[in-house]
Amino acid sequence: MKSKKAITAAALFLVLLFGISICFLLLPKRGYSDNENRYLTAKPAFSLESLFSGEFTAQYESYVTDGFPFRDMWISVKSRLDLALGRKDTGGVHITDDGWQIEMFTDIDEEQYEKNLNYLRAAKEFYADKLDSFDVLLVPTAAEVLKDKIGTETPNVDQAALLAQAEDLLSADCLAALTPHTNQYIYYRNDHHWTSLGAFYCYEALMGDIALPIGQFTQETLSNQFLGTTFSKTGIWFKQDTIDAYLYGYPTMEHNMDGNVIEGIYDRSYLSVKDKYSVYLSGNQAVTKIDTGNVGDKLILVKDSYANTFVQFLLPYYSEIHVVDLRSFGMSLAAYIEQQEIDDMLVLYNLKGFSEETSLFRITK
Amino acid sequence: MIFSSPLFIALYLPVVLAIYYISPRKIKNLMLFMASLLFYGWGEPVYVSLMIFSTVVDYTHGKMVDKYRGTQKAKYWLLSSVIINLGLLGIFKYSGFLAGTINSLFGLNLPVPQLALPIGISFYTFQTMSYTIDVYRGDAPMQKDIIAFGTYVALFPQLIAGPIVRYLDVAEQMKGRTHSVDKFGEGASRFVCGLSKKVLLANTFGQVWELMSGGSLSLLGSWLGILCFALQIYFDFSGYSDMAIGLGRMLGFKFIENFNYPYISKSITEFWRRWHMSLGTWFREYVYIPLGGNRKGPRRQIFNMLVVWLATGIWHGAGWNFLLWGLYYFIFLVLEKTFLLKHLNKSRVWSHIYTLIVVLFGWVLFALEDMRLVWAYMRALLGIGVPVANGSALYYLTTLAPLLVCGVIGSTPLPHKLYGKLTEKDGIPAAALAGILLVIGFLSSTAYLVAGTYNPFLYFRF
Repeated sequence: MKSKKAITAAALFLVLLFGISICFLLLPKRGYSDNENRYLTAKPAFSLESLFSGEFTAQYESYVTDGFPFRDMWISVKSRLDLALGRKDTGGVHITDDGWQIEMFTDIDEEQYEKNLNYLRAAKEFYADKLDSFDVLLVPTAAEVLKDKIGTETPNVDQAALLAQAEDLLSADCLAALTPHTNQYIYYRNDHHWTSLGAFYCYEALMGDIALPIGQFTQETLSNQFLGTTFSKTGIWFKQDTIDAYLYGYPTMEHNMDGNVIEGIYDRSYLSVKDKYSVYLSGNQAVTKIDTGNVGDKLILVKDSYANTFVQFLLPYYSEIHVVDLRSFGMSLAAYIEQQEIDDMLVLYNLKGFSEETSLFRITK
Repeated sequence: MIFSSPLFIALYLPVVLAIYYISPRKIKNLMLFMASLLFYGWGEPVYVSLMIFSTVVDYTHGKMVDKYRGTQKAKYWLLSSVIINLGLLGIFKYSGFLAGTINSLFGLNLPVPQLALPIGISFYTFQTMSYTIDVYRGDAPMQKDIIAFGTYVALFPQLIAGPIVRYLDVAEQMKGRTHSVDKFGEGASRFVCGLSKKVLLANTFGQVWELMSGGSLSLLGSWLGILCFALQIYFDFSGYSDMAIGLGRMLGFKFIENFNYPYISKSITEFWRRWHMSLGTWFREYVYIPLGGNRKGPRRQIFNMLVVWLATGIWHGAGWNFLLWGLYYFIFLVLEKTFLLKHLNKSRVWSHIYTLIVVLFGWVLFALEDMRLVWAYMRALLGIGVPVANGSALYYLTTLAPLLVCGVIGSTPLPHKLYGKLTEKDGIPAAALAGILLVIGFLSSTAYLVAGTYNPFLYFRF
């Protein structure tokens, strides 16, 4: 006897199973995933050699995985299920009750962190007679600054303790500068970066008496449809982010000495793509030279992406700002400094990124 | 290949099912054999030759055992089959461990073989051994059809994680199985149930176990961690068995059950009658009873148990911790046999608590291969030298509480009983419930599966 239960189960199972495979076979494959910021695996070419080395099967597997129909939808279904089950953490992101998606920082490579601090200590000494000043800012991430949003107990590392380890190097205490403003918009809701406003408060802490009030800069909203990296990890959002610029004067920038001088330090072409944070300085370039149009020293800024939004507040103080990303900077930094007649150095990283960074040894090379 | 992968769901399973059902009866086994070889060879193409070797060797041995039935020669062929199968296992699974041990014991410098473990080798060598033994004992007829035999050896549903299907249990099904909508529907529900157990529960609990055992230990965190590991390994393993049984059912087979709610056991003896039952049966039928079982006096019985439990331990992995893990259970089983069982029968609650604690401490030994880590973790479970709780333990306990409750309830017979009751009478409501659960299970599992492979490339952190 055929049971209704079995017929239903059999029919639904076949519909789902073949539905997915037919979609997989028929739907066009994407080459690039904006959300994941990477190229998806293409269908591998078959050869006996690649079969027996295991390369073919491995690549075919990632081809199916990457080309899985409605890939981006499934990730958001997963996050919603997690939330429905009472889970706050999904894909390494904590989602707060008021819809902030905060990147967790649960593991730290203590050794790498200490090593990196020592590179900075060595650099401070190395440049002592070559530069007028050597400043360091390490910016805590939202996991620390917004920890009240996460809850009293978190698995995150104690960033205050990490900053204390670096106390001899730091020119300002960014944690102390940001903490009074946690009810303001100092980190993005859907991205791991801080906002321009967050950067402003640390700028105040760094510059002290000579910091300009925020009214001296012209605020402009560049986008109010920003969904960044923590969105990419969860696939869901509650409120989109706003990207603000704080304009000052008439600077120009030139990337990687390619001779192409761009008006302003904002690359508005990025406002129409997913990676909108790259509107600041066209994202991470190996080296960007900014002519600020102002009178002052020449600064070299050794940094990660947290500095991209910080740069706008430095414009009033320097005539030139050379922004260097050690991960991709191919030249000798010391030689560059000498050649460009740099006066001052500022090192600015976010704490999480800094603790994972493996290119800091280049700072004295 | 594994069941819980996008490749299996999106391509392998639908294509294999379609080809299998379209194929005429005569070549169904051949199709299944080839599909199984593809499944097996996907991760390590060269090892397909190993599978074919096993098939040919055991097929020939079965033939020879049958030919010389009743003579001394049959015994030699049987012995040769066992030696070859254990030899394969020895070379591929234990040679590295053995060489490493000998080196450290005698200060030698023997080369340590670095062979990739062929997936499922522990399972299928046990299955093929069961074939020659069953034929030798006259419990099952010799299989004349090499394709049907190869299908048994390589059969993809139970190839990589059991159940260990003894030949005599499926001997008749190899040629004479039938297919029906009932079987298919049942199998589909069972497969989705197993997939959900693996993907939704086991994987999540696994992550928490990793976090708890990898970070700084606390009393609360260590208990949370080992509880999560216990749930992970149960849902993972029994989920795989469910998927295997379900897939087998879709293909017309009926495999034996492998798990029977082990965590409700009230003694270790009972636990092992409910946990990985096909392995227990295998050792009982092919090792314990042939050694004399309990028929040769209590001393011999304890010796036989020792052999079985050391073998069970080392079967789970080539490492000292697994051997110790087997020994650990041997000790509790002997204690129970000699006097403890009588006392355990007196209290349902205390005997249950005793069993769970023994099993959880056992999992520490099982999960952490380094004895120093085992020791540190056990101290944490006892609260020695660790804080009562830390941020990470409290955070995951809070955020996981609902899922933990699901996991604990899910490891008891309750959900199954409830489902059985609700769908007892076949009709529209029963069909609707079965259908809804299947769709939810399938879609959620797919979401978790795909999300698990979702790796935003964030190195250049913009």
